[in-house]
This record gives sequence, C-alpha cells and structure tokens, in this order.
Amino acid sequence: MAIKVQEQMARFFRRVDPLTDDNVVITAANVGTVDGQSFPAQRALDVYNAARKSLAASLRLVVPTWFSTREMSGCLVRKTDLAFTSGVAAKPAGYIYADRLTDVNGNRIIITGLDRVGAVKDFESASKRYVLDVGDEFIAESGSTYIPNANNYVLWYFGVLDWLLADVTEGTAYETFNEIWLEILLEISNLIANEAGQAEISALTNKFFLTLRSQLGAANG
Amino acid sequence: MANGISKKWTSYALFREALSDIQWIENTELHIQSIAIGNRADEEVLAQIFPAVFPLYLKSEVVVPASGGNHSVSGTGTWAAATKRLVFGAMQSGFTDGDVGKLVTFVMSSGCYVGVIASCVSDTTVAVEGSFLPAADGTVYVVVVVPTAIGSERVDISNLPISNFEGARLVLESSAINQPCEPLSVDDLRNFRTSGLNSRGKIVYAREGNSLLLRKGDEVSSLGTLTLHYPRLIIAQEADNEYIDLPDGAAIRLAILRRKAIIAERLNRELNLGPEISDALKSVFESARMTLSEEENKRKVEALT
Repeated sequence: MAIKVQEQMARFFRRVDPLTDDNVVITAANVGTVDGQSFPAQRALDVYNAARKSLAASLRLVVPTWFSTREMSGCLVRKTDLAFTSGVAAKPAGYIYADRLTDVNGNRIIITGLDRVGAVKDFESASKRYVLDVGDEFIAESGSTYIPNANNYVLWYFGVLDWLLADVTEGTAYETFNEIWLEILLEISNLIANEAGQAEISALTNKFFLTLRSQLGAANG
Repeated sequence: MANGISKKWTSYALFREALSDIQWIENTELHIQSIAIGNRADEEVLAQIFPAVFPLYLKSEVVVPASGGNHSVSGTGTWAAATKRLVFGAMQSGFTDGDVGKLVTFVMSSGCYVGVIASCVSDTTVAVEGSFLPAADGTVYVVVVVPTAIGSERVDISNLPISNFEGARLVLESSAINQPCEPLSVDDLRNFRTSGLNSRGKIVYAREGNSLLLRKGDEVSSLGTLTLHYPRLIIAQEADNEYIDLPDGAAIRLAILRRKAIIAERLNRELNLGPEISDALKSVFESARMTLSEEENKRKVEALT
C-alpha cells in the first residue's frame, strides 16, 4: 500500500522535530505549512529529498540490478518519447540510472560508459547498438547511422524527482519508493539530519539489503 | 546467412540461455558481444570434440594443379635486399597467395637470380627466399614465375577453409587411379621413385604450407581429376538468427557451458562448470561410440573452463 508524501513527512517530523515553536504537534494535517522547532518545513523536505537520492545512489552501488529492478519498481519510469538527434539525447530530469533503452520496435540499445568503448565499438551494427552515458546526455558515437533521428525511443530508468512543498501540503502525491524502503528512508533522513555522510548511509543500505536477501533467498544472486 | 549444422539453435538463442543461467542483465555490453562470444565458444568446443564429430565437417573440392606461369610484361621493378622484397608492377597478372612456394627468377644488372616466393605481400610485391639472392638493392628488369615446383606438380589450397584441429586429415582422390593418393612427407616426396615397382601406379602428395605437392608413377598417364576431401573450418556466425555450426545434441550443452564460462569471466563471477562440462564431453564422445580417457577428459575440461 503506497503512502502519501504528506504522511511520510509527518512521520519524519515525529522522529526528529515533532513540535512547532508554539508546541503544536506536526501531523499530516499541518505538515508542510508549519515549521518545526529545529527544522523549517522546506529544510525538512530538503533533508528527505536528499535521503531519497542517497538511497537510490546506495542501491545502485550495493545491490544487484535484478534486486533493484524489482524492489525499486516504484521508481522505475518508462519514457516513451526520448528524442535522439544526430546521435544525442538528453537524459530526463531525475535520472539516476537506466535499466533498458530500446527503439520504438523494442530493439535493444545498450547504454555503456566511455571506459567500455573498446569492448563494444568493433561489434556495433544495426542490430548491436550502443550509446555512451556521458554527463546529461546519451551519445551515439556513430551519430545517426545506427540510431536514426526520432523522438520515440523508449527509456526505462530509475528516476527520483525532488518533492515540492506543494506535494506535501496538497496530500495527493504518493511516495514512489516501494513499501520496503519507507522505513529506511526515514532512517536515512535521520542520519542526514544528524549530519551523517554517504558512507554511513551506504553501510545502512547494504545491511538492509543483506537482511532482505537472506529473507528472499540467494537464488537470484 | 551463414547457417551451420544445427537445425534448432541460433547464435543468440544459446547466448540467451547462457546469460539466463548466470544472471540475466538487460543493459549489458555482453548483448553487443554475443556473436563474438558465440563464435569463440563454438570454435573452442569444436576443437575439443572434433575427433568425435569430424565426419559432419568433411567437404570435397576439385583441385587443379597450378598451370601457366607469370612474367613481367613491361617496365622495371625493384629489389630490396634487407627485406628480400621483389616489387614489380607490370606483371602479366598480379601476384597472389597462390604464388607462394613457386620458383621465381629475376634479372638485375648484377646477374640472374632464382628464389622461392615465401609470401605474397600485395599484387605487386612478394617476399622471396633463397640462398643466393642479390645482396644489394637494385632495379629488376625481368621477372619469371615458374608454375610448378621442381620435380612435382603444385596445387594451391590457400583458399580452402581447411581445419587443423586434432584428428583432422586430408584425403586426396584422383580419377586416374583406383585408390586414394598416398600422403607422404615432403622429403619422401622428393625421393619418390616414379619407376619403382610399388610406386609406378601411384599418385603421391605432400602438404607444404598452403600447397599440395604431387608426383605420379610412370604408369599413371596423368593426375586426372583431383578431389580433395578435407575437414572444413567452423562457420562463424554473423547475425543473431543464424544457426550455429555445431551438431544438435550433447555438443549444444557444451556450447552453452562454454558461453557461460566466458560470460562469467566477463562478469567477474565464479562458476564451477567442470563437472557439467566433463559429463557433456563424455556424452559427445559416447554418442560417437568413442571413449575418452580420464586424462583426456581432464585436459579438455580445463580447456573449456
């Protein structure tokens, strides 16, 4: 059961800063419209957004793709209008990393790094295509030879966009991280609120993943 | 389409099986390398099982002894003493790989020289071997390429995809005699007595590099039509939907296992494939009614893991 961002932020305030200066309890009803004694509403949301990005980055580093694809499916975004012009496409906002890129017919295009060019360049053909993941763009070295200009390429990617205060106050937005990550998101938010670094966050994510994997069984990796 | 022996398994289908067995990854460069991985795996598998499956790879080709020499028609050429390269642009026909092993004579102001063409560098350049070649660079006025080697006919087989796997051998037949031509070493061929009681009805041959040297006994009127039966090379796949060039059955299991070994290596994964490969090898040889010794099996397993 997905949870609203509004409720998740109220839970965060309950942990780190439950009262306003007037000693009013921060709940789902007023979260985002009032400030805590230590954390103004926007700062608390910034911390929570940072926790979401940190968790995504940690998952990328410490867990296998099959696991993150399934257990982060809520953050998986399907973009059906990725545009390549002269072999270059801009990454969508909130892009963390890609799981799959195809043309409109479902034919695979591999996304790889600059350091792997030697492993793919000589094999490139109309059916064996690749693009490089560089900065804010995907770049096909062969220009539009194998990846013709079109705006209907399909990109499946993990995307995490920052929530806005309006998303919190309106109470209509749902947290995109899957259910199992909601508690750890709050724990990471706590760590960030207490000025912890990425290493501690990654260690926590890794520990959580190992626990999950032992429960799910190691058959898949 | 470069379809191979299998009637069921395409290059990509096997790759998909192997990758799925280890861990399917959607966005990996291995998909781009799949054909190269497959071709390498299949060749390595065939090298190990060739004695059990070689009849499937036999091919026959009518071969013709080299005829018609070659010579310069106009102008001049050059000789480079350091590299022993003879360059002549205006030959009757350009040099080819088929010229390798032929005698070449050429005339310079310092004298007339004889050598053997060691390799064809381009259609205008050949490398020459010999004991008394010119020691200094110079202009070449005339070149004559002699069509046959001394004392024997020569058949160029450089264009045939002949396999050199363990157990591979050639069989040469001639329409002029009733039994297959007899293979000899080059030395024995040179010493072949055309009038000998046991040899005058024979055609003998020896392989020398990319050529077959032939001689015939005095009672054989001509070499006749020569047919070479040879084990061919494995056909490399060029597209995902081409059938691989291994026989269906136990060999396919080996092909998947070898792909898995290569993929695992590239993914930095450790797999214990030895026992499975050992079983599959035994199956291939048993299906050919052959047995593998434990030592041979171990050696082949090591080659495939």
